[in-house]
Amino acid sequence: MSYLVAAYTITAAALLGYAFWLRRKRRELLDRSNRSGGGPA
Amino acid sequence: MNGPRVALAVLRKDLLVDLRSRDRLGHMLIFAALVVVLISIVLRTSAADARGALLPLLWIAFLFTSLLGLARSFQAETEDGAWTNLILVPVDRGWVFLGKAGANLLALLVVEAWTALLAVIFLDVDWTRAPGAALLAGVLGAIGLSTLGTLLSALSASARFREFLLPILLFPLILPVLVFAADITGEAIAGRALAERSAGALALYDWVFLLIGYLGFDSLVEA
Amino acid sequence: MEEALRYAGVGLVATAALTWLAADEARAIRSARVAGVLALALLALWFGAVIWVAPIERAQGIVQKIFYVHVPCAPVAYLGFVMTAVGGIGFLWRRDAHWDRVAISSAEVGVLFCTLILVTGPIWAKPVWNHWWVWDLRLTSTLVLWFIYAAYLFLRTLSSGTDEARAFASIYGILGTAAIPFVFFAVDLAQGKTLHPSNPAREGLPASMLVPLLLGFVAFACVFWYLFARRLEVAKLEARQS
Repeated sequence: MSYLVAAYTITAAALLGYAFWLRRKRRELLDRSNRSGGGPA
Repeated sequence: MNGPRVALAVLRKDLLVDLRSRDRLGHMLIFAALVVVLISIVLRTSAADARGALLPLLWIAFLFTSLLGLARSFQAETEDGAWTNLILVPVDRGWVFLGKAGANLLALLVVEAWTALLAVIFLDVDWTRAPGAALLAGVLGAIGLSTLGTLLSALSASARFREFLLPILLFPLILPVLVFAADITGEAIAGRALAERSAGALALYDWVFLLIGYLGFDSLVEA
Repeated sequence: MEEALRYAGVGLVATAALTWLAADEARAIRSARVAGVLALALLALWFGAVIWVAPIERAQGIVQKIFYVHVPCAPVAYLGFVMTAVGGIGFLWRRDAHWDRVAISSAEVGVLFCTLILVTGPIWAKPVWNHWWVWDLRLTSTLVLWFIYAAYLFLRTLSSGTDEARAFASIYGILGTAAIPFVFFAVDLAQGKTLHPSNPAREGLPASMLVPLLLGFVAFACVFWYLFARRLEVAKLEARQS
């Protein structure tokens, strides 16, 4: 049982971790491009 | 200039550089001797059961030795800024790659012959039982290693930490070459028939990577 | 053989679909929202099916359910690796940096899924085989593929952002994909026997196991799609700001 829980938890953590990392990164980049006032070049 | 002549010119230039300074080849030969001696001592080759592991180990010794030389194969170009000139040749740049790979191939064949000789002296390996197959494995293996090595050394030449990047790029891709070549040489010193499947697969692998190298180099832009 | 062709067919369709999507960068980025919603819905269905539909296997007990998270990672990782080559070819052919972003995004997400295969596999193998790892065809070749594409990511972080560096990385991505069948053959030759269960379809899975597995394939494909689209957007934003 603990093996099963470990496998699913690690997978969920990895995918969610990556997804949220991308999300934060995207936010930061969008904020920066809005602040500098530049739209699409 | 046409393609083959460019390749020959590049090959001649690299060979001349090698012969004049002699350090690249010389270092490789000393290094190969050291590795084979180390293997001989550590394995205690009197034990007959070490035989099975011997040939793959020789191939790995050859791989490590080649790595030393391959890592330097674009050094002159990157340091002297000759790289741009090399890429700017107004012909198929693929031929530049073939010339470079050819020069590396000749150097690797020398190292390989030397490693095989050391194996005879120190490890009692008998190549004469199927010399044709052993030679075939040597040539096909060296072609694979020089093709991939030249290509990857070009890819990592301008990167940071290139001496550490090259083996990381090369080792996983060279695995099939090692397996096939060790299989053919293993069958050869056992005096069995040529391992045709391995030979075919190795030849195909060499061919595919030569083609990708040629086309890939050809598509490089004038940066 | 027929089965191998079927797998190749599905793979080809998925690659073609993703290539079509990636061909227009704005379209690919816009699709992230749809992909995310789809992925969440399918993941919920999949997880429900794993809990309630999938039976508890008699021989292995409940750990067998790791199967439903381990197996769907595999085709998705391969998809990522093939798309790396597609992006590489696209870049060398069209000289458009956007294809290079496709390559790097799919390589990164592919390596993520490949890592998950390599992590969940041993977690299943320990209670069932009593070893974390055995040197067998599937395990070894997956590990070698992981090394190839991890090296690709290394190459990307260590090289400069010039067009030449992009072209070099594209060549490496193509080399990696060309090597996949040889790696399989070589590892097979070197190690011969295999302990790993063969392809699921060959074992004639009952419907109660097939349903969660197929849901897993679709759900993970959507997760890949979502992550790929988001990664592509990040790469594009980064390129615009540098």
